[in-house]
Amino acid sequence: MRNPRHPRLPFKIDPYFLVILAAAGFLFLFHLEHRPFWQDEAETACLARNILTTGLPYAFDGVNLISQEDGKEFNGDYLWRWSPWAQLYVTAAAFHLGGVSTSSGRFPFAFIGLLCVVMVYLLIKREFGDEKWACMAAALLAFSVPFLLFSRQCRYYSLGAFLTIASIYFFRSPWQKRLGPAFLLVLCLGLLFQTNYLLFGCFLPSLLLAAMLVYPQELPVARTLKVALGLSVLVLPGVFLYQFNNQASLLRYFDLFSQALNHLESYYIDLLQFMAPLPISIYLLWRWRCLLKMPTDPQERFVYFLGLIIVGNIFILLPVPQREFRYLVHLYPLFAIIVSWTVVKAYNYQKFSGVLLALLLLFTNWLYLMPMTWLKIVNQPLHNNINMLTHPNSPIKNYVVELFAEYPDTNQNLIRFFNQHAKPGDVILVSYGDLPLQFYTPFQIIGGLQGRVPSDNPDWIVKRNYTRYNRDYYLNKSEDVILRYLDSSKDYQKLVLPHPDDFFGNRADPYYHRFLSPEWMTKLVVYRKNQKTAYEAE
Amino acid sequence: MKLNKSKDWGRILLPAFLLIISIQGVLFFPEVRVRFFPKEIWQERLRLVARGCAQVKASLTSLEADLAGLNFPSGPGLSPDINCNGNRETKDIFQVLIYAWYSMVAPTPQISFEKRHFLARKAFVHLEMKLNNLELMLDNLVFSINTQCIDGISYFSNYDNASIQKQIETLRQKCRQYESNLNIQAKRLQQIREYADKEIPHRQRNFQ
Repeated sequence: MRNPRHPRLPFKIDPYFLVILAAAGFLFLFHLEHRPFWQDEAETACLARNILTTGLPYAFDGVNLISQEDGKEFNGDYLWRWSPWAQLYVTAAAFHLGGVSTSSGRFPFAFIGLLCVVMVYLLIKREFGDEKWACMAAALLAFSVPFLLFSRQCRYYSLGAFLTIASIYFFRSPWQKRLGPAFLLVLCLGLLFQTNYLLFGCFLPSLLLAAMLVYPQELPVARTLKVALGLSVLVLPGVFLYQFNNQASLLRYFDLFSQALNHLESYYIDLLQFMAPLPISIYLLWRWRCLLKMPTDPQERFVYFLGLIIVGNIFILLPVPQREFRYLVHLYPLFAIIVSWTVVKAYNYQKFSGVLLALLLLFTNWLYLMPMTWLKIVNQPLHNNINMLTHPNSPIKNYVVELFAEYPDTNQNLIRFFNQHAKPGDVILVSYGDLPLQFYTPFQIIGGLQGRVPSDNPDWIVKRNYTRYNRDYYLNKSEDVILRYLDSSKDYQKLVLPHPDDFFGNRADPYYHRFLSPEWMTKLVVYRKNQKTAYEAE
Repeated sequence: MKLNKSKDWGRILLPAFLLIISIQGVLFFPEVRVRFFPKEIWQERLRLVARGCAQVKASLTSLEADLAGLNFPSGPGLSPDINCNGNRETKDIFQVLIYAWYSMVAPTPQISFEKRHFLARKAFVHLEMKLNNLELMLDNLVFSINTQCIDGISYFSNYDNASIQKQIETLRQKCRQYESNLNIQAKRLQQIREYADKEIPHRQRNFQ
C-alpha cells in the first residue's frame, strides 16, 4: 500500500541523500577523459561523429569503415542497422554541444547514471516513504563500482538502466487512470527499445509476468491494450529499420541447449559476485521458498516483484548467443533496491549487524566474493591481479586510485605512438583496436573486426598479442592477413613498445578491468614498413 | 543468556558471520599483512606461486591429453572419407574434436558438414584459448617469482634463505619446463590448423 503522506512529488529531500548525491556526482562525473575510448565506446563515438556531418549514422566516412561484425551491420548504403540509434544520437548531441572529445562523449551517460541514483531514491521514497531504505539504495547504487564503470562508458548501459527503473517508477504510478504516467510509461519502454532492443525484449515480458503475479489488479485489460498500442508505434519502425534478421542469424539452434545451460551458470555466478551477494540471495530465496505465496508486507511484495523481473530477464537472455555481463547492467538499480531492503531489515533487527552489513557492501566486495571462494563455486583465475573486481578488496578505493593515477592504457599508447610517428596518408592495419585509432588519429585504419583488408602492403601493422576469432570461430580476416604479411614479407621492421598489450583497454567488464597497470603483460608490438630508397623505388 | 527462540540465535549468528567476513577481508589487505604478518605473507606468496604451478601443470596436462586424443595424422595413410557413424576411433580431425568437446551432444549421422565444421572450429578455438590462458598464467608466474618472491628474500634476511632460495629455484625450473612443453603444444596446434586449412575444402567436396 502506498504511503498516503507522499502521494506525489515533490516532497522533502533528506540531507543524507544530498550528501550521497554529492559523493555520487564526484564518482560519476570526475575525470571522465582519464582513459580513451576502447573499441565498443569508439564504435558509438565514430558513428556519432558521422551523424554530426550527415545527420544519420553512416558506417563509412569515405576513409574509415566502422564495423565489428565483418560488415554485417549495414547494407550497401552503409547506414547503421545493427543496433538501435538512441545512444548514437545522445552522443552526437553531446559532441554538438561540448565538442568532439572523450569527456563530451561520456558525459551524458555518466550523468544518466547519476540520475539512476536519484530515480531509485525517488521511487522508494514515493512508494513507501522509508528514508533509510531510500538512502541506502541510493548509496549502494552510487558506490557500486561495476555500475560506475559501466555508466562512465560512451555506450547505452546507463541509459538502459535509467529507462528500466523509470519504467518501473511509472508502472507503479496511476497509469491506469491518468494520461501523464501512461504516456511516460510508454515513452520509457519505447526509448528502451530504441536504446537496446535486447534489454527491451528481456525486460518487458519479465515486467508483465511479474506484474501479473504480484500486482494483477493493476493491469486493467483495456488500458493495458492501449499502452501496448502506443508502444507498438514507437517500436514497430525500429523492427524494420534495425534488421533483426541479421542478429538472429547469429543463433545456432543445434548448439542452443548446451549454450543456454552454460549461460545460466555464468549469469548466476556473475550475479552473485557483482550484484547480490550469495548470503543475501540465500536469505531471500529462503523467505520466498513458497513461490506462489505472495509476501503480504507491501515493501517485501515490491522487492519480490523486482526479484521476479530479474529472474525473468536472465531466463530470456539464455538463448542469446553472446553471454556478456553488460546485459545485466540495466538491472543494477533493481538490485540496489533489493539488497538495501535486506540491509534495512538487518538494521531493524539488530543495529550493529545492519551497520556492519552496510559498510561491507558499500566499501568492500568481501561479502560478494568470499563465500563464493569458501564454497569453491569460483576459483579466481591466476592472471587476475589482486586489484581487480574478481579479488577480495575495496573496489571503491581502487576506482578512486585509478581516477587519479596515470593508467598506461593500451589504446592511449597506440594513439600517442601513431600521432607521433605516422605520416599523413599512412595506412595502418591492426588486428584489434581499430576504432579507437579511427577516432583519435587522422589516418586510414583497416583491419580489426571490420572484415576489410588492405589491397596493398600497409605502412604499419599492429599484431595484438591476443588472437581473436569471429562469431563463426574463424580467425579474423585481419589476423589472418597480418600473419601472412609477416610470414612472407621482409619489408617490415619490428618495434616493441615499452607498454603492456592489455586485451581491451578501458573495458568496464569486471573480468577485464584492471585498476592498476598489468606490469607482467606482453609488450605492444608494431611493425613499420621499411622505407624504400629512391633507387629501389625506381 | 538464554536462547530459546530462533530469533535469538540470529542475533548471535548474523553478527558473527559478518565479523568473520570482515576479519578475513581485513587480512586480505596487503598493507595489513605486510605490517603484521610479514613472514606469513611471504610464505603465502610462495604458496600462491606453487598453487599457480599446480594449476598450470593440470591445465597443461589436460591440453596435452586433448591434443594427443586428436590422433593427428601426419602423412600417408590419411583416409579422405568422413566417417559419419559416430565412431570414436575415427581419425577424422573434425569428429575427434567434436567428441572431445561435445560428448554430451554427440553428432548424429545426419549432422551436416556445416554444423560439423562449426563445432570443430569452436572446439579448436577452445583449445587455442586454453593455450593462450596457459601462456598468460605462466607469464604471471614468472613475473611473481622474479619480483615478489625475490623481493621477499632480500627483505627478510634473517629468514631461512637457503631453503627459500631452493623453493624458488624449484618453482623456476618447473616454469621453464612448462614453458617448453607449452611451446611443443603450440606447435602441435599450429600443425593441426595447417592441416585443417588444407583439408577442409577437400573434405567438403567429399561430403557433398
